[in-house]
Amino acid sequence: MQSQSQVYQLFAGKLFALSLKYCRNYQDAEDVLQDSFINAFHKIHQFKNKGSFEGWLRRIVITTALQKYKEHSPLHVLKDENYMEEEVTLDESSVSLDVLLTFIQSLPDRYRLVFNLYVLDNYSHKEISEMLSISEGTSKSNLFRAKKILKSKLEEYQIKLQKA
Amino acid sequence: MMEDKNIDRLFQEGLKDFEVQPNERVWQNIEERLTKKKKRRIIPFWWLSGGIAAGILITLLLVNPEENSTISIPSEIENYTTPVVIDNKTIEIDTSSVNPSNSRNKIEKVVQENHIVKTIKKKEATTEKLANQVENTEHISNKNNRLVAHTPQNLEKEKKDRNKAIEKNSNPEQSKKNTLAENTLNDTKKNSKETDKKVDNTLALLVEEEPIEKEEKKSQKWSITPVVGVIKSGSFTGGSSLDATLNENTISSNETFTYGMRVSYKLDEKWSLRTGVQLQKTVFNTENVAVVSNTVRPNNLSNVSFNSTENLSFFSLESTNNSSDALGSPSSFPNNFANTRGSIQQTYSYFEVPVEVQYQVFTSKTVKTQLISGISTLFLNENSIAVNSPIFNQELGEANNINSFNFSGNLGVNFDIQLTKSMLFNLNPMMKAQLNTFSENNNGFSPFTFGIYSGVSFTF
Repeated sequence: MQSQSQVYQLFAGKLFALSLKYCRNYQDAEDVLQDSFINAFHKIHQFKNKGSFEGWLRRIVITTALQKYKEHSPLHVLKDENYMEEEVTLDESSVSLDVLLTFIQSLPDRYRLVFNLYVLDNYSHKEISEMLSISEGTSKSNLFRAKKILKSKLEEYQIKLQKA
Repeated sequence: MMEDKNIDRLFQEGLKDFEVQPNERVWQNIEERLTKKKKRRIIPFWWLSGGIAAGILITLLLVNPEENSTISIPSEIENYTTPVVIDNKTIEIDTSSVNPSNSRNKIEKVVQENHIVKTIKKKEATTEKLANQVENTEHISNKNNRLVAHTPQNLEKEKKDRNKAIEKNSNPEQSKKNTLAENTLNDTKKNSKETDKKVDNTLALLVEEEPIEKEEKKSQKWSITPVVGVIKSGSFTGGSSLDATLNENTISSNETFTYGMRVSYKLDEKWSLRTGVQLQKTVFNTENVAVVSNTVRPNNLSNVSFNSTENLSFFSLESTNNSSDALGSPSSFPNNFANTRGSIQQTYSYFEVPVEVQYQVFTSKTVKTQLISGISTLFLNENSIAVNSPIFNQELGEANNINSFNFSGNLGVNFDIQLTKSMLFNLNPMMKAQLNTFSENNNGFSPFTFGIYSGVSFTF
């Protein structure tokens, strides 16, 4: 139990941050973190020193979060979607970390998962499609929409800041 | 001007070193769940093993005692990995909000609304999907409709209206105070070197401790073993359980086969428990007996219930005190009586349900040795007495002094040879002293069995 506690203390911060990005809210993120650690401690023998231990734990957290939201929010692909990006004016320096997090959390489940996996954790659309049991097209479309929402949120946010 | 990639970068850079310490209750919950499971595991074992043994036994007794080669033992593996899916907490307004009274009211409202939403959702599961589609299209075209993103599953318009109020509450400025208000964000850039060191230290610690932990989890707790064995029976003392007149006769025994199924459960590194069910057969031959078929003398084996109408008399040819025998010697019978020399074969078999403890005394990579001790409950299955001689070869009846329940004290050694990761070959010599074989008149006959059992264990 002591070594488990140490592992927890060491990685809880990073993994909770990860969990917060994948989850809708604080409570869900706590649940995912908790389940992930329990899972990890039960399966610790399956860690074969191949990758980093932290990487292994991160994958467990991601999988747990995916399972939590996978069955919900069936979102559909719009086939004739225009993937062309509009240009947005943004002042990057003014956006703080917790604002970014709130934006991510407020995305619909599937968008949020895809955005996290692709942009923040560097999974490919192919991998994402397997992880979420969706097509690659859906994954791309979800990412596109996620970004679109995020962009508009950022814009709005900046307008408000400028007004203030 | 910002392009798509800049958005990616904005988030990547912005969240790169993001670290938040979770609330202490998370670890408390984890700790609680980890210890709970450890404690719980021992109790069900007793239920499970008792259940399995009883189940098999009842099946065997009820169905057909001879067909126990088809025994199969159900097994259960505890699965810890099921992640819990918790109800959608669709809207989270953290209680750490700066205006507690305000937000508390809102939370209550929201909770109530969610209840309604949930019930409606259940009823309208199919319309939901359609609505969802509509909603998604809408929310791309309508920038102001941001709340949809926040609560994607709240579909009906009236609910959207309600949620707008909530959305107002979660504008970026307030959200600073909201979700993350209670979190302290660590400046990990500063600490990154320190953290690296910590990681190394704890991984080293883990590696130190892991062999123990690994082994414990690697060596699967349950194993199931089809068992075949050869047993030889004997008696600690002389005497005949059939009749006192045969007390001095030589008693030999045949090797018999035993077979069954064994289940064992590992308690920890050293100790494990095992049980199962085996069919065990014992054959004793009382040698050098004269058998006389006649019409004048009654059957003279006091502990045998004869089922033939023919009268047979038995005399020991080894007895030194024939003169005191009330029946006299075979020579006292007239010549025309069938008179032969042979042996009396007593056969009985049991369903054996052992409950034994194993203690590991020696372990190497491929071989493990355990000491075994325990008791068996023996349920009488077959009971017969026959006579074997050049003239007669016939079933006489059954012993009337054999208890239908018997017990034995068991002692032995077990050698396990690792075949594959989850398969072990085992060789297991066992000495079993029977404690309660005969109800009466056993004339000091106290049987034991010595068996060499072997099998292949499948662990899981």
